[in-house]
Formats: sequence, C-alpha cells, structure tokens
Amino acid sequence: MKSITSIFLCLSLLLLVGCEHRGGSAADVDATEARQLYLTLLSGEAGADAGSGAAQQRSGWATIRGTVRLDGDPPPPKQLTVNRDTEVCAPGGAAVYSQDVVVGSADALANLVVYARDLSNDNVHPDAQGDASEVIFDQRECIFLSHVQVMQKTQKLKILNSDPVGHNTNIAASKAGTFNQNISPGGSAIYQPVASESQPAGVSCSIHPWMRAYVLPLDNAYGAASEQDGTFEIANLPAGIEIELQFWHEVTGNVPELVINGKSEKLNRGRYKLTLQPDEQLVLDLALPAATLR
Amino acid sequence: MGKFWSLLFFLVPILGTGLFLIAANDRAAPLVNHWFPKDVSQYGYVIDNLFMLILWLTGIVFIATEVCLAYFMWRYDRTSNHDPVKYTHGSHSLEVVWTIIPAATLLFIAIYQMNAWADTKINRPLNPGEEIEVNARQFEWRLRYRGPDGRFNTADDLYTVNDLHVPENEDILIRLKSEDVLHSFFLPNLRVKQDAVPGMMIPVWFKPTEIGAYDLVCAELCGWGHYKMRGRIIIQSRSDYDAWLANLEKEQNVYTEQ
Amino acid sequence: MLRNWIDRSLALLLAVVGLACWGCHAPQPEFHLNEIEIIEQQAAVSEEITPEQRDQIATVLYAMFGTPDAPDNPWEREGAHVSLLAEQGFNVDLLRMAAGPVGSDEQGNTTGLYRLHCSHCHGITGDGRGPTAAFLNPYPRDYRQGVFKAKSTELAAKPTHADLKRTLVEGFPGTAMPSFKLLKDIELEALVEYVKYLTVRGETEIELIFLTSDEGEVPTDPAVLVDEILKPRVEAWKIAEEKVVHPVTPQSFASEAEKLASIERGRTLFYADTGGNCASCHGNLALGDGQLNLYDMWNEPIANPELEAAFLAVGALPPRYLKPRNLRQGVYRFGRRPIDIYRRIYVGIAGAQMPAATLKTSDEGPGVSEQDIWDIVNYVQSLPYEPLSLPPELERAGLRERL
Repeated sequence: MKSITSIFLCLSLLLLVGCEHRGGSAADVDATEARQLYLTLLSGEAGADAGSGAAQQRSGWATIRGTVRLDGDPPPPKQLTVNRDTEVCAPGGAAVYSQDVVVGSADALANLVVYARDLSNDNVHPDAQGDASEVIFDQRECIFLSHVQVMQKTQKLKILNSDPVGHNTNIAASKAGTFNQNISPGGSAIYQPVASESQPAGVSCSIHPWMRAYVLPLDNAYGAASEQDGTFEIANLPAGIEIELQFWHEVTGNVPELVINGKSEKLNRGRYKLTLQPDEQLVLDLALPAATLR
Repeated sequence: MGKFWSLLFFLVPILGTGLFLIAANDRAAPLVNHWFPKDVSQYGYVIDNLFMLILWLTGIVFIATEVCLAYFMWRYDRTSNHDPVKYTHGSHSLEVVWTIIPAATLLFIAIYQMNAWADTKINRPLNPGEEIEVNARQFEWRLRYRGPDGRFNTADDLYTVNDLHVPENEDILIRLKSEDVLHSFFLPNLRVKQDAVPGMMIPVWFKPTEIGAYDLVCAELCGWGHYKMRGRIIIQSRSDYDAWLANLEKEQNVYTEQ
Repeated sequence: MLRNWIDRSLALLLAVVGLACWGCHAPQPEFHLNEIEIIEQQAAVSEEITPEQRDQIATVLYAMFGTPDAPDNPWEREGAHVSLLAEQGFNVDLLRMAAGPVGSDEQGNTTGLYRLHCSHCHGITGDGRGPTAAFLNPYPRDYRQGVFKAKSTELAAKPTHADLKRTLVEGFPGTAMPSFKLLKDIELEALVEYVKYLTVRGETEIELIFLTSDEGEVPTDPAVLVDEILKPRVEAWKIAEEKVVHPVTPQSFASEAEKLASIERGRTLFYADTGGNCASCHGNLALGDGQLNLYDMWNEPIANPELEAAFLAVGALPPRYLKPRNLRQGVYRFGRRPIDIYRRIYVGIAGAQMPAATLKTSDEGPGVSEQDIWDIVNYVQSLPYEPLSLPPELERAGLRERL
C-alpha cells in the first residue's frame, strides 16, 4: 500500500512540476513603456512633432558620374534550365546563362544600382522629379532586355513582349504595387507604380520561371544602374547637404564592401555618405571586390 | 463494509431507472432535451417503437439482475452472515433455463426488427420526390442538387454547403458520399443515421412531415473538427422549396454585381 | 485497514490537487514576432536585429494592438478611456467579441470567437501556423502580409468587407477552410473585423521590422507610427470598396446554340498563345500540370536554399509548390459563379502566379476582349462535364455502389 501512495505522490508532483510556464516569451514587453507610447499615439499627440528634418541648406546642384569595375574574377556563369518553348528561348539549343553577374570589356560591371536615399522634396531639383514619360521594358528570346530598370514612380513602365510566345510579367513590388499580367506575343502592358520601393523589386515570368529582372521605382531621378560598359550618371543632385548613396547589386543585395576612388570602404547596409560641392562633377571610380559575389 | 457496498450497488438500478423516468418526462429540468428529439419524419416512429421495446426488455432484466446482486451482497455479507458454506456441483437445468430464455429473447428481437431494417436500409423509394447528393468532407456537408434538368453531373447542378433543403411530405433520396474519411450522416429529428464511406455511394431515404429547421450532425469521429461538423436541414413546402432552388440557381449564375 | 483507507484518500487528494493545479496554469496565449520576416530582413541587410530591438518592437506592437485577450488597450487619458484602434475606425465592440478566451457574456452570446473557430488553423497571431496547420494542404492563410487571394477587387487592393464575409459563409471548397454559414450574423461580423485587425497588425509589424533593420533603430515617433505606418494600412481596407472589378458587359445568351458557340471560342482561346495562353500553366488537358515548380508568395521565401533551415527552425511550415488548378474537377476555391471566374481571369490572383489578362486596345491588336474572357469563362465552366472529365457511368443507380 505504501508503494501505491508513493506512486500517487510522485505523479502529483510531476503534474505540479509539468505545469510550469514552458519557456519564456519570445520577446518581453515593457508594459509601462507601452502605456506611455500608447498615450502619445492617440490623436492630438501624433503628428504634433512636425518633421524635424535636418536643417541643412542646399547650396546648389551637382552631378555624379562614374564607372564600376569588378575587382577580380567573376564567379562561373550559372546555366539556366530552359524547359519550355525551347525553340524560342534556347534557339539552336544554345545554353542560356543567368544575367546576375554581367561583366563587360575591361572588367566593366553592369547592373550595379546607385541611388540617393531619403531626400525631402525641397532638396530635389525640379527636373529630377515628376517625369511622366514611358520607360520601355522589353523581353525577347525569353530574356528581359533591361535586367535592372531604375525609374521614377511617376513614370509608366511599358512592358513589351517581342517573342512569338506569351509571357506573364510578374512584378513583386509590395510598396509600389504588385503587378502580374499575361502579355500576348507582340502585346504590351503598362505598369504604373503607386509608390517608390526601398530596394529593387523582382520581375519574373510564371510561364518561363528562369526569367529574372529587377525594377526600382524611386521618388526622384537620383538613381541609375550601371550600363554594359560600367558607366552611370546621376545629375542634378543637391549640393551642400549630406546625401546618402545606396549601392545595390543582385547577388550581394546591399553592397557590403566597395573600393571608391581607390579607397576600400566597408559600407553599412550598402550606404555611403558624402557632401557635394555646387556645380561639382564628381567622378566615382568604383570597384566591387569579386569575393562579395561568392 | 459489505453491506455498505451492497447499498451502493443497489443505488445503480435506482438511479438508472430514475434517470430514464425523469428524462422521459421532458419537462423536468435538468434533463430537458435528453429524451427523443422531436420526430418530424413519417417512419421515425418505427425506430422509436423498436427502441422502447428493447428498452423495456433490457430494463426489466437489468433491474432484476441488479436487485438480485444487491440482495446477495447484503444477505451473504461476511460480517453478518455466519451460515456455513454450502457446496454445490451446479444445476444443469438452471443453466439451460438461463441460456434458452436470453437466446429466445435475442432471436425475438432479431426477427422483430427485420421489417424496420428493411424499410430504412433496403427498400428504397422508387419515385423519390427529390434526390440530393450529400458529400461529406472534413468538416462540412457539401450538397449538390440536380438542377432544372433533373440529372446529376451536368452543368446546371446547384451547389451549397451545410444547408440541406427538402420539400415536406415527399420521399427524399440522399446519395451519400464522402470526400475523405468516414463520416456519418445523422438527422436526429428524422431518425436517420448512415455512415458515409469514402469510395461508396450509399442511398439514404426519409419522408419529412413537418416544416421547420432541424439539425444535421456528423456521428462518426472524422478528425479534430468532428464536433463542429454541423449543418441544417430545412423542411419547406414544395412551393417554398422550388423558390429556394430557383434563387440558388440565380445566385450561382451571377454575371455581374452592379 | 484504517491506514489503507487514509493512505488511499490522501493519495487521491494529492492527485486531485495536482490535476487542478495543472488545469489552472494554462499559459495565456501571446502574440509572437514574425520570425520569418526578421530572418529575411537580417539576411537582406547582413545586420542582426538585437534582442533589445525585438523587445522594443514587441512593446510598440503591444502599445498599438494590445494582446490576444485585449486588442484595443484603452488606457486612460485625462480621465477617459480612449482607444487607438477605435480612433482609426475599428469597431472595438466586435473586436472584443472575437478576442479573448472562449466563453459567453451575460446575454448568452459567445465571446472568444476567433479562438473558438479560427486560431487552431490560422494561429493566435494570424500567421497561418496554428497547431493543425501542418496537416493541411493548402496551408491556412497568413494574414500578416495583408494579401488575400479570394476577393473581387484589383490585384494590389485589399478584399472588400463582403469578400471576407463571403469567405466565412461559403468556405473554400477543395481546402480545409469550412463554411461558417450557421454562425449568427453578428459573430461573422466580429470575425471579419478581427481578421482585419490581425492583418493591419501583421503589416505594421513587417514595416517595423523592415525599418528597424533598414535604419538600425525601432521607430517610436508617433508621426511615423500612426501617420506613415498605421493609417495607410487601415485606409487600404476602406478604399478596397472602390476597387471592385465589374465586367463592363455582362454575359447573356439568347439560345443554347449561342452558349455552345461561346464555349467553342473559349476552347480555342484557352489553348492559344495569342489568346489566354492558359494551357501554358493549366496544362494541355487543363489538368493543372503545366507548371510544377512554382511557389506562391508565402512559400517562396521559405524555399530559399540558404535560409530554409533557419526558417524551419523558427517554425515555418515546409514550403509547398503552388499547383495550377485542375480545371476538370469542378472545384472552384474562390467561387463558382461566372463572375467569380471572370474576376480570376481579369485580375489574376494576388499572392499566387495566376496573371491578369491583357485587354485588347484595338480590335486586331494582341490581347483579349471582354467577350473573349466570357468565352473562356464558359469553356472553363463546361470542362468538368466533358466526357474526359466525368467518372464512368454507373449502371444501377440508387444501390450501394463501389466507386
């Protein structure tokens, strides 16, 4: 009988122990701090703190231009699996390679995106905003002809299909507006972003899943992707105030490390601060270490 | 100690019978709604009568057995009974009697219920007023009506979920199927219960006699949502039913919402 | 003998007390952070979000959205109870009905509706990862991205109120989402409001995580939190009502022959590259076997080979391919009415791969006309009744049959 009692005792203790709160919560909430924050969020408090922007004064306009090189050997090209419409997408049975790293002559690196972050409207040149023209975005032989397209959010992206097969162009832009439209051969569709994106958004095709491109709608014209020869230019940037340039590449995302005019810089989140002088034509000689692409 | 336990055992038939009596007297809280649900079908009384017959038979035997048990526990309790033990070699005739009588009872019940079984499971109505396909799936009842052309598997079939409408006073034939696991099509107020077996189409029939909305529940454990696999059977007059079908057809063929 | 008796009673008492303690200590459900988003953002910027920042994000969310038991957090200001969510336009009475533990109020109305009906699949946080989610195919919806597939509005817009309610009433055939037709209307309204609340909360959380990783600190400025983050997301629900897609010319048939002609035209359009190009995904026989390796937006991030292990470690469900619909089964998840199918073709499906049709700008130009879309709709609706789609004829109807 005593053994039965002790068994019951043990069971009861186990139950008591087992009911302890399992593990701490994933994040601890500070209720007092929450309450104070809450009271500031109610109407009348919110928005009272009118934008305390930097009180720097813009003193003119300047231009940045430059070239991007790849410092070192590019990674081996990745072959894409073309398993659909092969007569059109892999004519003659030729292998199709990914366009994630495009290196031209003299190590010129294309598709490195440079854009200015967080500039308020007063610091944007009138010519560098509000452009409502069309930007052509074509696809042929199942390749997007503009691999990285930088545009202003006020512009319209005219997506063409120059293939004899249908494509559906799927733009996964959460802020600028998602878009997914089936475009017949020879047809076109218009994509109008409703806002800017903070990072280039991916463009793909469901029918030909290996196709890939990027589009970056910005608030202004202060953005560019380096061309096949590695060159880029951003005109009419505000001078006299500190601007922050964002560097982005498809493989690295935010560029972690860049050699700018001979000096190796470790970039926090791919960002680089500088101040331009009025009417300056700053030349940036950029070199991306090949190690970052692996 | 033995006498205490024998009293405890004696409570069993008393409480058991008491429960049944209170439940059958439907006005007595706390056991309201614990007896038969309202019967709105033409032939539900057959099931109810069968239930009562078996209840009486087994009830009498139950009470008799329990009373005997309690009596024996009381009478032959070790602390109060000092009679010497009597040894016996058993009684052959007693054993024959208490084998034959239950066997005969069972045989009687088996034969007595044959008609009820045949009427509910074998003799399907040849000209049902309406045929409805019921697809049980976890955890809902998906219903399909034949639509204006009167045939299943055509483009004008009408679909709805959990909402079984039938016209009153007509034979209704249900084609019961399951999309995934075992379910059971249970209409308490029509005394209809049939397992839905995946891979089979099982016909179920009934004839509702009273207009109203009643329960359709699942009676075979089918997963974590079995407890909430409920639908509604709505018995309507023939004209209301036709109007509802016409409305369903209209809703299913909506081309514009302006 | 007495000792046995006392022993046993004591043991029984202890067992009962133990069980009672176990029952009384059920941990209160809490919202948990969007770990998947945190991992994604950390990978995107190659910077960690520190534990202090995580706590801060949780605190901000607690201040704005409360807890699963108390969503609207009305603390006192100047002696009055004011609620941020009420100010933004939420119906807090409905939220309170849907939130909290399951029970009933004095009038006998059920409270805790979300926990009673939804959380076991959709999760307490609305992340589609409740306890039963792992057993379901397709997975339950994750509300936190604010993207819904079943709606009548444009691709980038939110569903309307009627869309959400319709989802609850009809369910999604072919999925585990059941029909809640038998709930009272007020209960359905409460659940719709709570889903909107969870969606706004989830979107706010994603934005907070993004800003924290992008800028290195958690935003606490009311102007940012309310005006820039919260208001647009609440506003999106309101303007969804204006973004409903209505066909310009509704379909009508003068005769059966006209309908058959339309189905024939639809058949050509379905399989033609220059028409709907539907067969490229839905397959040459419309069986849904045209594309086998596509993901939807909820599974795609998880399938990233570098991060998949990290995602699975924080409880993400294993990624599943998104199969194009097998159109011969007659299963239409988001509605079987002609207008529903029209909307799927005209708008596409948000979060998935189904594209919108491009309308012709001129009669001879590329694209489809609205009548073409109706033709495709009619063809699609006729597919389940084609001889190829039907099961073999049953010889003796009405008897138990093995199918």
